[in-house]
Amino acid sequence: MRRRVWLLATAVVAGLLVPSAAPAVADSSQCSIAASGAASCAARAEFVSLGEHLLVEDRVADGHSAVARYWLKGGTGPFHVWNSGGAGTTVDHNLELPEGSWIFYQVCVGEFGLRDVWTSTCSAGVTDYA
Amino acid sequence: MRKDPNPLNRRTFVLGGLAAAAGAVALPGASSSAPARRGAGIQALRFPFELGVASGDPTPDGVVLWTRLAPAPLNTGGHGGMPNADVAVEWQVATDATFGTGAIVASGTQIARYAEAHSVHAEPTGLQPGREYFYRFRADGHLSPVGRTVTAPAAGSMPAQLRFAFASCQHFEQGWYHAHSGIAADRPDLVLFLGDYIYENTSSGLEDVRGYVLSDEADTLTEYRHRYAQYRTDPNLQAAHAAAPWLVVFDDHELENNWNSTNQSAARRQAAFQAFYENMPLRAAQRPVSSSMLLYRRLQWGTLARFHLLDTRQYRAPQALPLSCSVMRDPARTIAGAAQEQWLLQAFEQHPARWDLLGQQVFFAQRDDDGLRGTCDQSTDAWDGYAATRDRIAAGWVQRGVPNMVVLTGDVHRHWAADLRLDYYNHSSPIIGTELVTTSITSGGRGGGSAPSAGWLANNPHIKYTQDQRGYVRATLTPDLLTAEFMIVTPSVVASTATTAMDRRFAVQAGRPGLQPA
Repeated sequence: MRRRVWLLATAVVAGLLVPSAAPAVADSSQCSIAASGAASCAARAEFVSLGEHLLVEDRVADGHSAVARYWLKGGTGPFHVWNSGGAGTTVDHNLELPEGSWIFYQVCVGEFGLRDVWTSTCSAGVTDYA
Repeated sequence: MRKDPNPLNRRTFVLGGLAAAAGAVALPGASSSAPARRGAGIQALRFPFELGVASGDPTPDGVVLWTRLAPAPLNTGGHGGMPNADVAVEWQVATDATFGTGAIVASGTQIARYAEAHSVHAEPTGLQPGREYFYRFRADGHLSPVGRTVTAPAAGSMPAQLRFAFASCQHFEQGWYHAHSGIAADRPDLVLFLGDYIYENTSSGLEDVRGYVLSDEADTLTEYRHRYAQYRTDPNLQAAHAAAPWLVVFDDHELENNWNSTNQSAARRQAAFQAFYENMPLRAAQRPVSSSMLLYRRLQWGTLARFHLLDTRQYRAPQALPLSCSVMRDPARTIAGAAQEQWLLQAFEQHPARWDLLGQQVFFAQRDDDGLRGTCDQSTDAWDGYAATRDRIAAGWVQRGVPNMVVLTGDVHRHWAADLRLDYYNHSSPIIGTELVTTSITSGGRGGGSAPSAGWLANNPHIKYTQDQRGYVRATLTPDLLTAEFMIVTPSVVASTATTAMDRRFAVQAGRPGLQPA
């Protein structure tokens, strides 16, 4: 009986191992790419799963801003987190995501005044989880 | 009752389940390029059902069940965060949504292959006709959301009614999918989606309500896959898919705006068709072969209704230049292709159902700006641009005595309702059928554009209604009556909170063609 097999299999797994609901994964990070006159990794973003913080760092004194853009589970985005504070500064954006949700984010270089994201500098992006 | 074409060996499954927790998985039937077990470095899957579940193309004893594994749907490689390995996915069909004791009536296993973006198309058979079922999937220990589906009535039986919805054109950036929320709440027996499920084109950059991750025009398999994945992250779209079986056809934007049989490379056609198949609840019969895809097909709903789902893109001649009457009316040109046209005309010779419905893409009735036969100021992309094909098909159903013909249409981002005639320039020409055109789910955004002028309507008196708001159409079909309710989103699709409301209702009586206010 197929259903019984399904239950048996689950029971075997549950009886031998205590897996976590999801594997432990180190916090992810991204670097902007070199383009449009911006240096490689001029902007960096890191997602800290504990507390769901998106950190956006400006790493090069180039007169430009760092910006992260992100999309969320549920079909929303992009949302933008700008760091216009200059080289060596980091902006901490607290997302407070519900458990089980995810974020897909990229980091780019841009001009804060015009809210112009230089998409050619955007990292490929990565998904991380709350 | 049970149908398990790819039975999951118990030992394999137990090993797989065990390995899933331990970091390895057994994959019955996996391709030679994939590891037989999850090896070192391949992690357990995150929740892989982020794109939801769907069903489609019901018959009296079965339906196709769909999902696509994508734990990270917006990752830009087109594989939704899945590893380069094939994965066993179990499915179950039950008579209640809790999958309680004795409720499961069919189950099996499909292999979600990396080469097909981990899409799953399961085709259970042996189900009872004319009843509601529930289904779910399991992969690597994760359970999917539960979907609801419905089988078609038994052959030769006359159901009391069929409740169906139809929709089209859901540009992701231009609005929220409130209309899909309405469809899901209706819980119809069927949903027809008549094309422009995605838009391939470059992001507007305006991001009316949301924006693409990949903003350039999609023209590769990776990009099409990603575009579908982003659309399918929408919870209302997922809810509408999970609420009822869908019948889907593509129009142009699943490939490129206004494409035809001659203006696309084989490589791009193949990529677009492959991605469409991977992301739709379609049967194996619709799996693309190279740069072709057999999309036109038929579905019977007892003796009440027969749906002819058409493909007006893949075989059409190039569009005529504007105002070129000689080309638009050239009988050698076709919008459907000779084989599909014959397939349709031959079907008209039999009358197994009270109602015949053509589910198709572009405007069927004539829309002529000045009402003059000699100017052809009409759309060259719609059936107006292929008038000879339309004339042959319309005359075909009249001559063959098709009792009640209804054409269901999308594409034009407005609601329309029209009587069909053999000769639209002769305003007393007999009415031979009905066309119901659904507006877009979102495409066009806020809407509210100008209505056709009184002069235009006087030139086109067969047009009974038009509305430039977003929404869908819901309909009820009985042996005696078709009732169509044109639903609109209010206040608009750019509002984060909105609802759906009926804007207009029409009825068509069996045996008496012509729209009636209802």
